[in-house]
Order: sequence, then C-alpha cells, then structure tokens
Amino acid sequence: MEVLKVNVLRRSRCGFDCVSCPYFKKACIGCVIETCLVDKCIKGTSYTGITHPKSFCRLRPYCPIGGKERPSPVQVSSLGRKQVARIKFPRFIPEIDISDERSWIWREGFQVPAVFVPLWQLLTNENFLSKASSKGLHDYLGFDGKILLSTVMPDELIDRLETKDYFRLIEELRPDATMVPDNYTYTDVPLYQSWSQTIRLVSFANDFLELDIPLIGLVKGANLRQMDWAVRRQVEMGYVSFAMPARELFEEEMLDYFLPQILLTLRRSLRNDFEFLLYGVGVKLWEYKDVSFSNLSWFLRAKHGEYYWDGLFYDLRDPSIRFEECYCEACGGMMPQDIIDLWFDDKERAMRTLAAHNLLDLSRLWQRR
Amino acid sequence: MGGGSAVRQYERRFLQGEPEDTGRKDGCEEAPHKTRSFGEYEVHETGSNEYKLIKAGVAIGVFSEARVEEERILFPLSRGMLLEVSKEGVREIATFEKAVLFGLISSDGSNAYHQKINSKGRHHTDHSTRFYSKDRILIELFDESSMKIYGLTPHHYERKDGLITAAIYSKGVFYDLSDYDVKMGAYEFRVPREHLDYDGKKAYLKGFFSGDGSACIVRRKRLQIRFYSKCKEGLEGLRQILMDLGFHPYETEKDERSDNIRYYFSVPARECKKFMDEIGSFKPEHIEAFREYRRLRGEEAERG
Repeated sequence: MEVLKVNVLRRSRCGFDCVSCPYFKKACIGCVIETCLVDKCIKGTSYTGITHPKSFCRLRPYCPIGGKERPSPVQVSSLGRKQVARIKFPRFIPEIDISDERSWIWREGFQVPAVFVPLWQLLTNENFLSKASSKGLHDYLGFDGKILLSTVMPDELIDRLETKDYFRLIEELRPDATMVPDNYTYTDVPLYQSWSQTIRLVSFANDFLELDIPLIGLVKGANLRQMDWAVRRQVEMGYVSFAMPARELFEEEMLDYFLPQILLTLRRSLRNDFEFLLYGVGVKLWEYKDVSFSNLSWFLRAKHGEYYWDGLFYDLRDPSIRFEECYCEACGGMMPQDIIDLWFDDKERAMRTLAAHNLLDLSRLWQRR
Repeated sequence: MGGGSAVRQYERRFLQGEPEDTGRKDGCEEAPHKTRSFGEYEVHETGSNEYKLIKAGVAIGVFSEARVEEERILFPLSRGMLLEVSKEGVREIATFEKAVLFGLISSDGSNAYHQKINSKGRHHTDHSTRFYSKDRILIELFDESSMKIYGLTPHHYERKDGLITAAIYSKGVFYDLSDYDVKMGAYEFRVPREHLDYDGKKAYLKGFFSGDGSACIVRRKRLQIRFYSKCKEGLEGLRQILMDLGFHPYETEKDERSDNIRYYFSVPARECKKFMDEIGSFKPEHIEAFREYRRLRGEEAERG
C-alpha cells in the first residue's frame, strides 16, 4: 500500500512518470499541479503564446508528448559558506528607472539612503550599459548613497546570463551590494521546470560567494517547498539579507500564504539575525512588521497621474484626496488639485512634484511602522 | 522575474495567455512557421495564422493580421495606427485616414481642453477636438475619418455665415492626438513626420492642403499652389515632407497682403502636375481649379 501511494505521487497529472526522476527525488513529492498548463494542453485547452500549437511552446521539453528531452538541471556540487555582510536595509528603498532621469530623485534635492538599480534596464540598452560600465554606477548616477543591484529581470534575459557574465557586469558597475541572480518559477507549469530553476538559483548563490560585496539572497519558488528549500540552502551558505520578488504573488493573492511561512523559516534558522525585503509591492501591508519594501510604484504611478496618500494610491482627481493639503517636502501645502493645475501649465514639473510626493509618502509610511 | 502564474505573466507582458480549445492530443507537432528578418527584428508566422514579432529572441508582440511588403511588414494597431517593421527598426505610422485627420486638424482644426466650474462648484474639464469648414464635403470627410479611427460621430454646429464646426468630445481622442503634437495651440501645428510613411505624407499633405491650401489659376493659364499658415515652423515641416516626396517647394515667405502675420510657400509651376497627380485635394474649389488647369493644358497641347 505504501509503495502504491508513493507511485501515485510520483506520477504527474499530465502523465509524465516521475518515479525515475534522477534529480528531485528527495525534495519533490511529485507534480500534482491542478492548473498545470501541460496537463491542460494535452486534455484540450491551450493558452495563446504559451502552449501548443505555437511553435514557441516553452513547455515542450516538460511535456510527455512534446517529443523533446527534459533538460538536465544545473548540478550543485557542494555548498560553500561565508560570513555574508548584512545590507542594513532601510524601511523603504526606492527602485529607480535608469532610462528616466526624473526618477533620479536625489537630483531634486531629496536624499535617500539607498536605491535599487534594475540590471535588466542596463542589459536592454547598450548606451546606458556602456556609460554605466565605464564610470561605475555611482559616478554615472551621481548618487553617493547605497546602490543595490537588482537582478530581477524578464525570463528571456535570465536564460542568457551565466555566472561569468554577472561577475563581469558587477565588476564594471561597482554596486554596493547585489541580489543573487533571479529565476522563474511558475505555479502552473510542471514542477520539473521550477525545481530546475530553484537549483539554478542556489547554484548561482553558491558562485556569488566569491564576490567581495554584500549579497542579497532571493526567496523564489513555485510552492512553499521550493521556497523553503532555497532559503535553507542560502542560510547554510551564510546569507542573512533576503529579498522576495513578490509582485506577482501579491497580485494573485498568494503572498499571504507564502510570506508568513518563509519568515517563520528564517526566524527558526537565524533567530532574528536576518533582514527581509519585499520587492515590487507598491501598497502598504501593515501586517508584516520588520520587513523592508522596495518598488518603482512611486514613480510609475506618478507618470500616470496617481497620487499616494497614506500608502494607498488614488487618481489625482479622486474627490477623497483632491482637496487635501499635503505638507511634505515636495508639496509644501499643495493639494492634488494644485498638481492637476500645474500639470496643464508645466507637465514636467507637475510630474516631478508628484513623483517626489509619492516617494516621501511611501518612505514616511514605512518609517512610521 | 517570473513568479505566480505563467498565464497571468503572459497576459500582463504580451497580452496573451487566452485559453483556446485545441482538442485532446496524442502527440505534438511543431507548428509550421515562416520567418522574415528585418535587421534585429524577426517576424514568425505561426500555424494559427498569427504573426509573432521577435526582437533579439524576445517575443514583443503577436498580431492576428499583417500586410507583408517587400521592405517592411505592417501590423494594424488601434486608433488608425500601424506598426511598421523594417530594416530601420520599428515605428508607429498613421494609416491613410489618420494622416488625413492629422492634416485636417493641423490646418483648420483644434485639439484642446478647458476647465470650468460646474453648478456644484466642482472643477470640470472638457476635452474637444474640432474641425471648422464651410465645405460640407470636408466636414463629411472629418466625420468619416473620426468614425473609422475612433468609432465616434462628431457633433455639428452651423453658424449663420455657413461655417460648420464638427466637434468630438472625447478625452481619449484629445490625448491620442496630443501624443503626436499635431495641434499644440491656436495656429500652432507640427508635422508628425516620424509617424508618416510615403503614403502617409501624401495623405497628410492632402488633408492639410484641403484646409489651408490654395489652388487657383493665375493669368488665365498658370496654376498657383500655395500652403498658408501663421505657424512658420509648421510650414517648414510641410516643406520638408514635400521634399521627402521629391518636390522642390520655394522658401517660406511672409504674406505681405495680409493684415495679420501669415506665411506661405509655393509649389513650383513645373511640379504642379505632379502635385495634382500624387497629392491632390479634397476641397471642391481646388478640384475645380485642377480640372480647369488640365483643360487649359489640353487646349494648349492641341494648339501645339
């Protein structure tokens, strides 16, 4: 009976036989995802741009009838260990848009202790990359606070970079700290892919121990088991600062399921000697204390005429805030209506004021907590 | 970056991820596709008659329709725009109707908003896009373009002197046209040259000329074609696109006959026929002048 139970769990919903899986036997209990896209495709429902009959189906290697071999995952030989320095995350760390100088908020006279610079923006623009590489990020941005390199990037870029590419970029850009390389772990694709990606993340984290700058471990996974496994491996290697790219999980209302468990794992492993940052979430989450935040929402929303008030965002014309005066450094008593008026006279100035206001509102909010 | 659901990710990033019924499968066949390359861009035609636009291996869009030409591929976008993919790269260009609309608004139109306080004391902003003309044919042309591009029928107001105003009250239309800066203020316009291909330039000129152009027979035999405007920079833009089309317009001059400041430039007499054939006008008065000019030329040819 026990053998039968194991066999059932080791057979994927799509029909793939996981019993002889040479890679994830210990960690994985078998692929039983109810929303699995491969399973759905075989049974008759495909998704445009993702599965059959598109020639670009990225899941074919994981499909039992796809006619392609599953790629071998990265092998992690043995984990190293090192005393990784803490980043000392401020409560709120703005992300900036490297291609839009209006988000370089220190130029407007607003001091921020640290910013996240997204690496993908540099990779997709050779001009910015060559300038930033030749001068280093500090000189290029003219910023003397902490520059943290964000490796969170689109999947197609993730697949292209190897350890030596990251090392070269980090050497040229000279950030004060960097995240370990990002991965992609979807909740509705076969677990073989997300486990391969999770192992890849741990392998990169192991390689990154060679770097001399503070490192930020990543919390990623398609399920709690994968997240927990990746976090524990990184803790073993000496990581104490963690970031969790959480935009998608937050939008899909899954964050509240994962986050408390991950924080519990970290507390158990490291007592309270760790720091944690939620990356990419643009609204207040009161229930998570001692967690730092980072996002670009303050700027993106400003570009769309949206105004933060007490951590929530509103259309500038929203009657509930439209005539509320704000005495932050950026507004100096202005109301959203004044920003609307300014928008028609001098759009650029209005946008900059709104962006600075949003940043100050989010910073104040999380400092208050 | 990928986390959460792959379907949601595709919806968010590529406007894809819609379910479709493809039937139960026993095997997976590679969907056939053709590839065309334009510099760093590739276009793949998939088995389901869709076109996938790829840059450096990254899918950046999927289109259900495409017009394949020798040097470029055109994909329809919303609001009368096309995505042009060629060796030079990717750009948004105006369809014929949109280019005509740009021309009409640049000449005798407006695209503006004004704020007012309503009866409840609240601020209210009105956005409107208008075209003014005494020619009903031009008003109908504006209506037709508006209908095709935005699916909106303009309101009409007629003054006692015969001037008709066709007005679209839409914030969406206002912002769409503002994005191209075709009409920045009263008498101020800009030629959206970067959004006009060869045919688009002709359509824009035809639209503009129908509003603020003049075609008349002088000295009973010569056709005089002129573009008038108070906006000198705008006129320079018009000259530039005429030159792009192989014309050699004269320099812009100040119109001394007018009490107000006004500028104009002329199309050389030797290029009038080319102008009539390739650009033309929607304005009945101009069409009549062109017809008269052709008649005179015909008579002249008969006389030898």
